Amino acid sequence: MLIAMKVLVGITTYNSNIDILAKSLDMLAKQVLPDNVELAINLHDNTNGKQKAILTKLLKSNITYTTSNNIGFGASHNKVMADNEFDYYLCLNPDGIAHHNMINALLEFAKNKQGIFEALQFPAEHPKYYCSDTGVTDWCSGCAMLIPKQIYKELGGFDDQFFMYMEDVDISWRVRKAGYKCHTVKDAMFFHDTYFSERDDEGIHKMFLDSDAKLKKKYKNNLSYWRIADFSKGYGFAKTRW
Amino acid sequence: MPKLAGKNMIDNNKISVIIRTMGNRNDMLGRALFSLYCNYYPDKEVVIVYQGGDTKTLEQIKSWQNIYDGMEYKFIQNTPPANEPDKDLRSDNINKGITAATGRYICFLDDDDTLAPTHFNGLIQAIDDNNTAWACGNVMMDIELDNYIYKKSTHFSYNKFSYVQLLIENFITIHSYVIDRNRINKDFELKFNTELELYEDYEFALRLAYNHTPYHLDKVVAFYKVRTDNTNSFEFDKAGDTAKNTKRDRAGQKLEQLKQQLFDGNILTKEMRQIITKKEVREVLNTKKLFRFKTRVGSKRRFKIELYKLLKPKKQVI
Repeated sequence: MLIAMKVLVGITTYNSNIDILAKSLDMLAKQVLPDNVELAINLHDNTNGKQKAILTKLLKSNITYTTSNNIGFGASHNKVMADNEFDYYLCLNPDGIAHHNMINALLEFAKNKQGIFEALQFPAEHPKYYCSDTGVTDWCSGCAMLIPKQIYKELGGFDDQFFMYMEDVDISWRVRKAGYKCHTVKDAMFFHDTYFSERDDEGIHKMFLDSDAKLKKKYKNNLSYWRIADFSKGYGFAKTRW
Repeated sequence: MPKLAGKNMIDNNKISVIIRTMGNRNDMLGRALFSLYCNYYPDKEVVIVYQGGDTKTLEQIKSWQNIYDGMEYKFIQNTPPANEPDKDLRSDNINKGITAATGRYICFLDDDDTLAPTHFNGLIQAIDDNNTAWACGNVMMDIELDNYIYKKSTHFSYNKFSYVQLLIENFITIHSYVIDRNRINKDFELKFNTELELYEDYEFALRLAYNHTPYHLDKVVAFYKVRTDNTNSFEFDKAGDTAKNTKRDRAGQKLEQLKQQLFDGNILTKEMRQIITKKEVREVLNTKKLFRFKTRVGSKRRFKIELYKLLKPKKQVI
């Protein structure tokens, strides 16, 4: 069988919930994929090997384990992308679970389209607007984002000055500036618990504000991003559907 | 979580989720099961009651257990009688599921709805902490067309449980609560009314709340899909499907009769006064909802008179 397309899934972890991670890897193993697609998964541990014993128990034949210091979300994914070959890179959050048809739906939608593609968050969708016909949206969330090799080569992945948060908004704006589009794929579902579980709000809020300040500094007075870098919609960076 | 034990107690902490489904809804069922698979509660049993005679569809339904594993599955086929092949067995489907369920906790889920990942943990914790027979939470209404959600509504969200409010409108959806079978009174019939083809969930909620006051968890626990292609059962058919509208009218009339029976012919009996506080009545009367929604208990005027009477008990004779 001739493998025509390699999809590399990158999951970067930092003391992540092991139960959810196990389910995530289980569902990735159950993906319904076309015959010509090869799926490889890289589990990148940001604890510098401290969680190796736990995480390596989850490994299956197509999953590799790498580790580094806690370098941040975007930088970790950049490292995985730089160290591996792929046609499509699927950036996944460690606190989510892919529907068994998610990758197939993303690939199917991405055919003959240029840009980046996000899965729809489940069960509570992100409120930002996307066109119901074309799927075009202002930016793609990094929690389940499909990046074609060509885009990666051209843009060089995430801007690793963002430790966590806003790196997805940043890459989306750069994608649009380069003449491509951001898409939401409504048939691709990714379970993501954004609203239900209690979190360390203070720590998250601090990181969020820090990244927001960096985003503003980078784009606020950059005229070449006029009509792309939109700060008028608050932290949503897009108009909402409801 | 504390485990209750004793005679006739169910000695486990399993939750049984009873899902009723029909043919041609397998994709919807898959979404519902995906939400269960992602749910954080560890001990889950899924009881799927399939209404139909098609064995191929049943096999498709059964195949979900290979994808969403880690949960116990039970499959029940409920075929309508030959002389009434289109009969809606919705209440009977639930009842068969309840009979087959082995969990101490019970939850219902229609095949087109989904649950939040914290649904079971949150509501079971609320039951244990407050020693109630059941607990309910808020539901987010997703209004969609062709799987595109264009509006959300908090129609099924509320600050606290109110029986008066429940009499006015059905705000407790079938998948918004968990029942602890060990805490249900022995004389309460944990069954849906098979005479109803619609509103069976409303009648059950009224009966259940009449006998056991729930604890209300002020958090979103589930999502309710409103499909604007006219395929939801609760809506009048705007396209003029008279059969569907007649079915709704018939079910509505039947519900009125059952409510009257439940309240012994008098809307506010002594027993009801015990569960309805004056403060609650005052709060409900002050809301616009009373005037916005048509009450289903007798006439709206009579219902309002009864509520006002409750506020002035000296003049009231029951």
